[in-house]
Amino acid sequence: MKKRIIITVCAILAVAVILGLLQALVVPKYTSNAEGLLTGEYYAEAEGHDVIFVGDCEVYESFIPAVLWEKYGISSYVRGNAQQLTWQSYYILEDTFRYETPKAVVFNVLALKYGEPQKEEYNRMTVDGMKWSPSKIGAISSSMTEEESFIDYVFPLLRFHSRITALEADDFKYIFSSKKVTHSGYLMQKGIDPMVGDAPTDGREELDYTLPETSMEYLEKMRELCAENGTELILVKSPTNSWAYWWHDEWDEQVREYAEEKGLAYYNFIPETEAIGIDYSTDTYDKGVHLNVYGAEKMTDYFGRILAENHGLAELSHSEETTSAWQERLDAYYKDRNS
Amino acid sequence: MQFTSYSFIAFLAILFAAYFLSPKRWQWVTLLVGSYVFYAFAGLDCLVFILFTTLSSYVISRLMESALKRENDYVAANRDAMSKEERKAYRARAKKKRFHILLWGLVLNFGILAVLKYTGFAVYNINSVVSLFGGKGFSIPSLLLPMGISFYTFQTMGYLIDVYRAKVTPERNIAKLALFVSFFPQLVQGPISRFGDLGAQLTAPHKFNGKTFTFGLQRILWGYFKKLVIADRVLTAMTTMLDDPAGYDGAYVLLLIIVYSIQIYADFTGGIDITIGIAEAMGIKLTENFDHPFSSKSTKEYWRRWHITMGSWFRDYIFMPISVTRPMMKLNKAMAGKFGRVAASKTVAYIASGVTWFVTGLWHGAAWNFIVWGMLNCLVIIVSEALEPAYKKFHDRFPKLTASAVYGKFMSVRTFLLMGVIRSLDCYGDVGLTFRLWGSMLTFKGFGAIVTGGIFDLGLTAADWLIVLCGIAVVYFVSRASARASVRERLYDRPIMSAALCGLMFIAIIMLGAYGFGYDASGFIYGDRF
Amino acid sequence: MKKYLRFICLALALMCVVFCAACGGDDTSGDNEGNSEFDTFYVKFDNVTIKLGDKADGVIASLGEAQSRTEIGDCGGLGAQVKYTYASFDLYVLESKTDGNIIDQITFRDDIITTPEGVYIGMTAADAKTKLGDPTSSTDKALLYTDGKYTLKLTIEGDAVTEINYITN
Repeated sequence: MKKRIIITVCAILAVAVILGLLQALVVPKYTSNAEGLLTGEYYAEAEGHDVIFVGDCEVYESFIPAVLWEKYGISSYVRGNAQQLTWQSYYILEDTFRYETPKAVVFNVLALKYGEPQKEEYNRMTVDGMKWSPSKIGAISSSMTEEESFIDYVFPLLRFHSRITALEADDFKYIFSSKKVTHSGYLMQKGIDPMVGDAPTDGREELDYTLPETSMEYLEKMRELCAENGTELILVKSPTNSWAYWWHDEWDEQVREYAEEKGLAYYNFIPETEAIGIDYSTDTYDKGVHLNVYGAEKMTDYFGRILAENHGLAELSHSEETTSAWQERLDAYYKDRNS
Repeated sequence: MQFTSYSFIAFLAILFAAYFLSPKRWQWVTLLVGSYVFYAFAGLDCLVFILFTTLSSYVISRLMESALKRENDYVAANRDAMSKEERKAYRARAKKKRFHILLWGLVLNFGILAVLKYTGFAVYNINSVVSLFGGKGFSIPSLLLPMGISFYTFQTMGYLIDVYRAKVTPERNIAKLALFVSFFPQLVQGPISRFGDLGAQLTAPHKFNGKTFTFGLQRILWGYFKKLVIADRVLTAMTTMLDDPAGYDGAYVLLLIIVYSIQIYADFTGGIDITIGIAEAMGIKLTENFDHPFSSKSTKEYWRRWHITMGSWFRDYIFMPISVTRPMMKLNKAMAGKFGRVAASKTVAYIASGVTWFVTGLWHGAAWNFIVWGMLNCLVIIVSEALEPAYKKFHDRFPKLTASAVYGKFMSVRTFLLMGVIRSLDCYGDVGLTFRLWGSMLTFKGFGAIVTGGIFDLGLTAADWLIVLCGIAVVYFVSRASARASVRERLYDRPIMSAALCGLMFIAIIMLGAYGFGYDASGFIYGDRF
Repeated sequence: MKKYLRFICLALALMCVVFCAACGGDDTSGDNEGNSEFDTFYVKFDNVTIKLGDKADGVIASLGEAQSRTEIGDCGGLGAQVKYTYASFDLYVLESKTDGNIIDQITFRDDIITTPEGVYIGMTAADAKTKLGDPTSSTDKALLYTDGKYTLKLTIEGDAVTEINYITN
């Protein structure tokens, strides 16, 4: 009997190890689509930031921490993901406060339009990279679409097992590591694909122009979280405005009212496009939907001045260690940009 | 809560723990609570129906018991005062009264089943007739069909009939009867158990036994392998062909017949493996429902090996009673005088078979395709029987050939294909369409397309087909090995090998199973329909 | 005993009837549900049926060349949103790697195109209501006809229908 128990325990351990290895092999490596790696990269730099950006694609394509450091001496990190929902931004922010307490948090408001989880793939891209904590559990629980199961996040093998028949060389290459794809959360896009014709004047018709309750609830939770930690919450809307992701006046009005009521700063950069210097014939990589690195540099410069002048983030002092770390990041940024 | 859901696995783990941690005398209560929790997941309103069946069966069985007791007491008290003929006459009258009680039970419960399952079908047919005369017809009601209602109704009615026949002593504890009616693993797709086999086992205390528990888990694992690795993976190809049956005619019909045979075998036997494994882990032995059906050499043999408990239920509670009804006896007698005893008894058997297969078809689904399916099965069996003398002659003429393994395989393949063709009525649904597609099958149109890559355009990649083929090979070899002796018993004495194989099986299920996000998780075919 | 038996059996029979009567599923085929059953989420244009949720490829091919086609890729490379502009309407298609190309929204651009019920831009709200029945919900600015998954939205200004949109919720 004792022998049987020992054999059984050994078999269970062996199966667990094999499945662990298989899990590492089949989970997506996001080598052709870097957006799935953004969340996880934060933990290597998770301390001492003056500003944390949270939000959807518009934050990781519009704000460049390296430029913010170079021009204004502000240490920052972008914790954004493709279609990062408001409650995901909240839990990512909560996760951030476990490691550091920034002076300001900048939230891009476009994702407020989503009141329900949209796609499992986006959930995965945002949440999978988070380290396990109550924040990750909260992010998963609040984000799952109807077809998803919590256990699939605990054991991603259960979700991705079918990839076993579609493995590629990169799945083996990056089995125990992943490629570094961002510059402090900024995902560099160097291509130029200009906007064709005139800028759109309107977006798709929406069913309802009231921002969803769930989004507003989590925005309020973000505000409270920041207030508890003595951090200023700043709301922004990046200058891009395509018909598919249109920022409607009705939404702008609601955010403005909310910001006024709570005493928050809200910057809608859509009307500031010219002042920022953005030229959609050179500053976008996808016909005006997102900024490329040249547009993002202009945007970061413009917003950096606002942070420095209006939010007390000018002439910040940093340790030598931080300064040298940022110098390395800056070098890496320009090396990548100019390559 | 589907067997293939994560929540079911969690439920099972909790139930096993609760069952073996419960005091022995309360284990059956744990099982009852577990069964009702499982059933409640299918919808609280469904509970009403299973409670009704339990309550009505309890009352009816107790009434029959007390009627029988009165009858026996009376006969015992008046043994000396009554002549043999008087006793016989009294017993006949008493039996008739008991039969009336039974009839109430049958009418009530089959009535519910009939109303819930067949009203739509009946209205549909009435509307078809009415429309012939230019009428508008009635709207078809959408009625709730409680999970497993066909299974638990048939099982419970079998119990009532057994009580009536005094084959079993009625259960006096209604909660224990409730457990027999609702025992959760078999609610989804059977097997249909007899009270005499299962009743006492369910309520008996069961000490944890490592060997039995391990065997149970192994059987569950085996069931999941068949269901997830084979049945659910191959389902995509089936769905693709069934979504556009006219576009997939000719040779594709034959392909569908083969694929569906594989799918339903893996799905149904896999589900039954899980059911039997769950019971076995708790020390409860359920009746086997399959015995290598695809090795059958004739249709009759096939039906002795496929869905055994359903076949035996229909034999014992439909076929046999019909065969001995008064009109049948009269017919038998009348024909025996004119055509001889053999012809008379065959005629009675054929009529009873016809009725039984009609009901069997109807039980499988409230639609004409199921009725035609049942009648075709009946026809094939009757024709085979009628041709029995010719077969015998052939066997006598070529004894070497008919005794050879090749001939045996030929017979098995022939039966497999014949059953597959009839079974395709089940998936095409429409009788006319099915007949047309059978016709197109003979043209072999599309055969070239299938072999030159068309098979990979059915939603399954080459890797998927390879997984299916490997899965089938594993099932085939295990099935062959188990026909000689229990594979689990043989492995039990080689614990390292046993653990390694179980580990491999588990890894295969996790890695190669068609489940989880992205798959359209399918319920069991039999569970969905019943 | 006989009475007792009859009583029980009758009681059970009654229960049986009650249960069966009470077990109706989600049948909504009655005629008294009115417009909560609005389900005509399609438009016919040049004999082409354009229906929300349908595969788009065949429809696009049947409609002929569009005046313009603009595509915006989804973040993360999961798919794209495509806008086809025709003379009388805009057609929005969601292109997904997993679900294929699906018709997502139809926006009327002029008063030539009508809904299957005959509602068009410029019609009075009262006339539109007569044709479509009572809306599922309404505000000062819009009448909404929905089945939970799709919605027909009529935007109202003054007393006139100024915009007509078929929207996937």
